[in-house]
Amino acid sequence: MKILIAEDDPVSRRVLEATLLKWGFDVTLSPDGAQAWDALVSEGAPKLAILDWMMPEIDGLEICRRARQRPGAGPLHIILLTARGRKEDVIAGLQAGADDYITKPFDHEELRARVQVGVRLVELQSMLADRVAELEEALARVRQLRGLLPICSYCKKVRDDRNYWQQVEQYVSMHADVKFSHGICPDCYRRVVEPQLHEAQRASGAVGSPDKKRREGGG
Amino acid sequence: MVDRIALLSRLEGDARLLAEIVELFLRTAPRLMRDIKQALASKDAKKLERAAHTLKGAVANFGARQAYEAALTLEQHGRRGDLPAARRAWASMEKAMVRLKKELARLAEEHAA
Repeated sequence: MKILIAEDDPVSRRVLEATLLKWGFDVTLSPDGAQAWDALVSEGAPKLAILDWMMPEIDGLEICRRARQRPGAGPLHIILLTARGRKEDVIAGLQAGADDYITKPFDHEELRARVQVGVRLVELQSMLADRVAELEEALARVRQLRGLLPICSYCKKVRDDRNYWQQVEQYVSMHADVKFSHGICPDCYRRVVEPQLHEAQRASGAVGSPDKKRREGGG
Repeated sequence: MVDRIALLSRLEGDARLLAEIVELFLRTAPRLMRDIKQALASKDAKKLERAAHTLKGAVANFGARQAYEAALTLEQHGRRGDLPAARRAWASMEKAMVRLKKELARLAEEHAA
């Protein structure tokens, strides 16, 4: 997973970079807020970002605000880097749109745990977004079947938008992701198929089957 | 002065990375010290706050308490715009930095060996 590190202090930036590379992340680095913002709005932007609070150009807080106001933005998990022990900073950061924070100098295990939380949330959000897209697509297909459908009371043909009468199965196959497999229900079997079978047997009897002849001959 | 245990645990015992960040710090810290000095001379409280904040972040990586406290004090004076107090605090910043640089140079040498 791609992760953005925006930090103006080269030492902190390098330590974070080396650590996250060791953990298998694909790291993008920004020495200031303007470059960080460019990275976040670029094609294939990282979905996880560790932002320093105080940075030249645009500070971490402002990036949080902008990111949350962007319409149609995909999932983005922001971890804000803050100075130690400043509760008011933490509150302001979360209110500006950060998802989490870590104090500097970061504790190794704490960073790992918080990054893992971020990965989990980003994956979950991406999965949900994919699922919603799938459902929307399915819904768009189903929606074509909604509305008033004129149907012949006798032959059950359906009239489509172009005033053309179609068999129900033909119409539904065209308007939904449905295929029909044909069978015979018990009612129709008794009403239609059985009389036809009887008729066929009678007809074959009239022509004369070898069986019947033998039986007749023997009798 | 340097919290070696915390430092090495943060670097996952990576001696090469340690040498690299020490070198990086020794290369970049003088610029930040110069920025602070200039901010004091030009009475630029905003610049002082920013430079001291960045320096504080840099020294924090090494767990260097004394340098951290000195930078924090300068940053706070900068935020409050109290430049006379910042000028008085400058000496301890310089002293802490001299010590830190010496110790880091030694640390890098030890781990390189």
